[in-house]
Amino acid sequence: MKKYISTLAFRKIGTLILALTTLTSCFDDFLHVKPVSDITSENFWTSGDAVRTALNSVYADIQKAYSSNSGANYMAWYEARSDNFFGIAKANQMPLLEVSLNKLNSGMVVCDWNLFYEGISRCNYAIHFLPTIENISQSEFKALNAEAHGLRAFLYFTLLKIWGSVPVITKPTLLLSDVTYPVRDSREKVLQQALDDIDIAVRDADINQTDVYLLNSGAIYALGTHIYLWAGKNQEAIDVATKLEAMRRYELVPISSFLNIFSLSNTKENIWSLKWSYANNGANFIIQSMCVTDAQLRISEPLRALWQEQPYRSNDMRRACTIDTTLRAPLANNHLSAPPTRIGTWKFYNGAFGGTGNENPWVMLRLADIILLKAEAYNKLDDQEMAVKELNRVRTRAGLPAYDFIENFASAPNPQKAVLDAILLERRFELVGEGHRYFDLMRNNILKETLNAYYESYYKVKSAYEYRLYGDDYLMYFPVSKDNVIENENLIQEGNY
Amino acid sequence: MKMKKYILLIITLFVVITSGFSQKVKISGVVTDAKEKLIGVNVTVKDQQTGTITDINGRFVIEVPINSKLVFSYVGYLTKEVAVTDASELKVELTQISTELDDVVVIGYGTMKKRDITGAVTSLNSEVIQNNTPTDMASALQGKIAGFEVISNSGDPGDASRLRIRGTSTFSDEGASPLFIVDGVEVTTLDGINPQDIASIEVLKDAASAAIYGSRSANGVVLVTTKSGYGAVKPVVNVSYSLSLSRLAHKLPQMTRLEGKRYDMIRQYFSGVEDYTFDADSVAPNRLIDNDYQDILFRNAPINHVNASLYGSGKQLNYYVSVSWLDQQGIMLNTYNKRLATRSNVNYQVTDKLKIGSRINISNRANRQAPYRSRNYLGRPADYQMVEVDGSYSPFMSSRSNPLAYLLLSTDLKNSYEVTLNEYAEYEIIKGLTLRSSVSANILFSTFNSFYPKILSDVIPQVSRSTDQTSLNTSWTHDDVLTYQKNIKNHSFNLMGGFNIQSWQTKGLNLSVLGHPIDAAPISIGYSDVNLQATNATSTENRLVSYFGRFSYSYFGRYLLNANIRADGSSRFGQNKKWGTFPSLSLGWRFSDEQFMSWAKPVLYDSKLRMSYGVTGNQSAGNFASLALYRSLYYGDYNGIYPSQIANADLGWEQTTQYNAGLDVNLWRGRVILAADYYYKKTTNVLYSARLPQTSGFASSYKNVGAIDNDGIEISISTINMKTRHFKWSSQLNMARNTNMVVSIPDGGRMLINDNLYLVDEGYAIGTIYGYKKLAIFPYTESNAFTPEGVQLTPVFDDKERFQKYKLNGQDYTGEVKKLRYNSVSGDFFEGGDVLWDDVNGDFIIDAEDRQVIGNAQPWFNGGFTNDFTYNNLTLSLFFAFSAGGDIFNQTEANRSNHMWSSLTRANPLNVAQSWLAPGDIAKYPKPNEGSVRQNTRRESSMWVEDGSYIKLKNVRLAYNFPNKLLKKVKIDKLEVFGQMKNWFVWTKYTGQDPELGGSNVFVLGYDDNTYPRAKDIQFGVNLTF
Repeated sequence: MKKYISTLAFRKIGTLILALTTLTSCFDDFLHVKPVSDITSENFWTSGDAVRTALNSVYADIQKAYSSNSGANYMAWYEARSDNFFGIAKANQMPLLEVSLNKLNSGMVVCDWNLFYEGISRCNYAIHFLPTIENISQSEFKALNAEAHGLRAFLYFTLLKIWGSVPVITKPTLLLSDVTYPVRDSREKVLQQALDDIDIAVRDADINQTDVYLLNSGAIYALGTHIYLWAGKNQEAIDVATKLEAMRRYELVPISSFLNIFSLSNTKENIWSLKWSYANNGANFIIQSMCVTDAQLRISEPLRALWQEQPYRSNDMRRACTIDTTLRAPLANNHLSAPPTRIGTWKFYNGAFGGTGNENPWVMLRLADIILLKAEAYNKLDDQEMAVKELNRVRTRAGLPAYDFIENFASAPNPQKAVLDAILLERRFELVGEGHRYFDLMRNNILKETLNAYYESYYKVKSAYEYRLYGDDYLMYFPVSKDNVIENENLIQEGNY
Repeated sequence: MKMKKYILLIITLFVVITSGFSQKVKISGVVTDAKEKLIGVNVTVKDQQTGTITDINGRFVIEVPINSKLVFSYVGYLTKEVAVTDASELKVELTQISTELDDVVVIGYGTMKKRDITGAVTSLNSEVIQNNTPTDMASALQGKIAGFEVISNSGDPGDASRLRIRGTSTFSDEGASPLFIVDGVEVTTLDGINPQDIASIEVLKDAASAAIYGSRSANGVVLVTTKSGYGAVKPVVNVSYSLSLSRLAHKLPQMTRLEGKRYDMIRQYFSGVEDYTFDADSVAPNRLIDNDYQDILFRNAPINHVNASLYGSGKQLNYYVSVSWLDQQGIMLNTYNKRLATRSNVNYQVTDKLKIGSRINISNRANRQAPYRSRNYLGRPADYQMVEVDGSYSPFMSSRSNPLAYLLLSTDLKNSYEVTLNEYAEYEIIKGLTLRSSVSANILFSTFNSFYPKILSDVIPQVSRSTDQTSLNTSWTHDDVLTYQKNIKNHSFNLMGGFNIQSWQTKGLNLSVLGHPIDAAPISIGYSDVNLQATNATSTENRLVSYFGRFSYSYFGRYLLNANIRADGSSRFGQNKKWGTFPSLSLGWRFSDEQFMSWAKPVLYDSKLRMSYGVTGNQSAGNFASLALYRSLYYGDYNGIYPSQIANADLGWEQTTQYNAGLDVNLWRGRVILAADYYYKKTTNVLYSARLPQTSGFASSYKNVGAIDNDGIEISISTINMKTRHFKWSSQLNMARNTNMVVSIPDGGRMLINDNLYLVDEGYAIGTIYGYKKLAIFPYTESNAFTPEGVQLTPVFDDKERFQKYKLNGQDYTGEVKKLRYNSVSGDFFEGGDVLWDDVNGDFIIDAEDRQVIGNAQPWFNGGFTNDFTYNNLTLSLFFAFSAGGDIFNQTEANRSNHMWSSLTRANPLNVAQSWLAPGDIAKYPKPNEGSVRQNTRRESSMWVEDGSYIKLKNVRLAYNFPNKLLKKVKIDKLEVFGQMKNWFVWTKYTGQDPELGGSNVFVLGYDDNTYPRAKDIQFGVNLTF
């Protein structure tokens, strides 16, 4: 009897379940709601425009990476560690003093590389979906392919410079199951990835792509010059820089227009600039922090003093454009701990300490930089004549007398080193604040000696700050953010970080 | 005396009497109450053992000796004695004792008598809801239900409240709030409802009760039923009015101009500037300013609340219509919340079998909250002007905005228009079988306008900004519910089956612009620039299909069983996981009705044991959480579209399994009513946007991860302590304790939320505050000296304050001296005036490894205690709320007393007074130097953690009801006048505004970040019925 009831009950339940399942399947359509204001993978990758907008979002990542933490990211990665600046800010969000003293730790907000990887992910998406798009012309395909690879090259090259060894990811994360927990790849592998990408970008670059706010053909060649030179491929660097100039699109602007390079960013000298819109992106915090509020990072006394020497003091027109020239006397002895105001870099604000709500673009690549890199490449190939010739283009534009190799360098004990020093000094003046100095030292393998000497002769004398000398290689690079290590235990922190 | 009688009666009923009868007569009859036949009525012969019970038709047959008396007894009814004279058919009508037990309680898709409830359901009737004359739902509910936490986030008029039933069992905000059902319609907030329209509120706490709402019920369900006209034969008009005056409840200490200047000097001194001076006696007007911000920005604000309702019923129709107007001015200047609400509830009995009805609620709210930047006044120096000499408002100064200008010039106006409709038809197909179909809709249209004129801008050049948003939220629901009620002898069955289909749609338009040519029109009519990032249209939808059923069975009303099941299909989840099933079972045993408990009958009027088990769900992920999605952004003015979410086809429900055991005891016929519940709930597959390794390009993705356990006890006791002809004293106490533990966490290990302050980790409760523990302040630099084992040494100085040697336990110490360093092996040594942090790992380096649990925001227990004293027509009510053991992180203090940013900020003067200023000081706080490199005033420190226990006398109310005799002459049924004080008395050690804190986030509990402070009110009102 009991058994009978239970079978009956089961049968009934079974029927009920069957009925419900049938009904349930009727509602599958009802339960399939299509997104309206959300875009899905299915309907997105259908034209070249999709890739165009996807790549635009990579620029937004770079913009955000640089300006995050009120500009502290940019200042910490590119400037605070160089001998051009000293850091003042010591807030959690802006640990520039500690960065200046080479006392990095993995808890600092500026150790976070996430926006670069977000950019890489967006490039990976674009590179993955581009071949699946049917209605696209060959030329559009090539141009977008070049830009996507060029951007990825830029991102890996930047990661390499700041963090050294980082994971190389080239596949898009489409599904949750695609998420990986990668290890840090060697610096060689990261550089190789940047080289592979820039090779494709240079190959496919579309010379009709001229928008200065995007990684246009000129920008790809300019970026190529940087990467090839870094990799020691000096001839390739010269070739690609020559290719850039062969387009006859760029020229050095007269010194009277020097400030337009930074405030307008669309002069003949600008190759690639980050666009800014105050309404959409907020203020350009890099500029705000480096020259407007003037409380975070200031020009170091050694650099200021160098500029006070002849012939620079009288002839270098860039000095007045770059820093407040009313500050002629050496800075007070305790200026590192009690800094005077108005020794920031004001070239970014049109020769003034201006407003906080600015939307000035940010200069990423410009011709003077590439010319000097080309000079460096020639010098490394032992063609000092050509090197000095290129160097003089930048010098004379600034109002300085041209060098003559025989007269100025040939008699030096090591002419090649003398020319290199001259190039690096020129880069120091020409490109101050533009994020090159620290990496110029790194590229030429003189970072440790230069910066240690800077600490011993400057910080030790003018302040009681405890700095950390450059010893092991890992100290040249940033630690991986502790948050990133928490997310992925396969990431191993280097050295004592 | 009365008691004795009772006992006697009981004894006589149950004592065995065996005796023979010479003459017997067969008596039959029927027992009814006013409405229907009664089943199971005890029919006994007085003074004898013989007896029977009535059958399903209320009939009984019994043989009795002639001239004896029959006793009819039935639970919930007055016992009646009838003398038997002859053999005629008896018709006995029993009178119901109106008790709390017979109240009808609304449960999901139906009602039930309170006595038959087997889950954990708490019901509040309109009297309880209105006993503190609330103007909003949060204050109507607060402290009245054990285990139901209602905390307003701030004192901002119209600000939402945080509602939690039995703790937090999920990781997302959206998913932690209970489900709100008003007259069968799901609503997102209760803000549009006038508390005076409410007939009852039921809170379904355990899973067995809530599971009938399936996938959205994991955090409990709040059922609101509005009034209808049942019972009132002639039209009744009720008019009430109240006026409150609010003022700042607790003023915080703040530095005056001179205190601020001295504070500057101290900070400058510690930064190495020993000769810092300031203009103390300049005649420039802006040097003499000494703002007391709390006096300037706050005011005494009136709250007016008018309410009128009309209700009644005819033979076929009953109706309830009401209108109410609330004008609540906030205590901060220019803040308010206004609400106009109307309601119309009509039921029409078309035929005997068919009933239709309609409920319409329309409300309009206007709410102006205090802009965020008007709340920075605590740290703003008192000598920063707010108004210029020419009467215009000062712009921001040194990155400190002008709070007065923000309050008076900005527009932050939210308007909402809400319509809730419910139309139903109910048809009795055959006796006992009823079909009810209903269609409901909720339409919420809201607009937001914010305008910040140029003067408020904190960038140079200054620029005005405005935002205009409109959004339309619509949801519709269709229900078909079939109910079958059948009684067979002593068995009572109730079967319910239903089908439900719902959809929610949201459409929005957002416009954000800047650079208005003029400030004259505070709306975006003309502008020079558009914030493209925030200018867009949105449209989204989600849908739900459900089947549900309930089976209730009761035997004699003594053994009770309820079983629910619900199957939900949601459009939100992955293709593989759209459907979920949520079963529940609960059992009740009214042991007080058992024979063997009869000895206790005189005292134990009614008692019941309840046990339940159930599974409930949570679907609070985004609408398209399982799909790969893309979003739009702007690089300059270039539009970019980027992948924002990875696809996860396996995303499914979050599940909560809950067990509940409860005991209801009713003593002395309701003199003491006790309900106690223990519950254990385990939430698994928690829906959370879990962190991903960011090398993937994504920060997080929705996953079913983690598990949380909650368990707790709830007790509520209501007693009538004293009752005489003129005087009555009754109390109601409810208490709850909830313990909560995270059992497992998403991949990527423990999480530190809110800038590394709150720990979410396995084995820890939600609300765990994590950071560095302050042990002391070093009195001398030399005090930073320890033995290698970590025992602190005592430095000894000579009479010229020169350091001599160390002592340990009174003996000279010559061994190795270890000193604490900041942050790294080469970090600075801590000095006099620095904090001595607890070096947890004993490596003499204070770094992230030395963090520990420094507090827990979850209270040990909390609750409410109400006392009502009635003397004739005068009633005094006292309502206390209390909470014990929870910690508070005082972010307001952490923020203003961190001594950063010279001359821009002001600390708490009490903090500075207790700070280290010179060697040897035994201080509570470290030396106030600006931006200490050793992070003495770091945020994640025990220095800012305080005990948040409190007892509040939230409400004292004195009401007078005019005597009926008097009122009858003027044809008034009821006239009440009252006065009450709200939030006037608080007993707490907490130094901030108010220890009662909401929380911005599920994880961030007990976090005081200077929200809009709470008010204390004094209120007068009149309530008239005729």
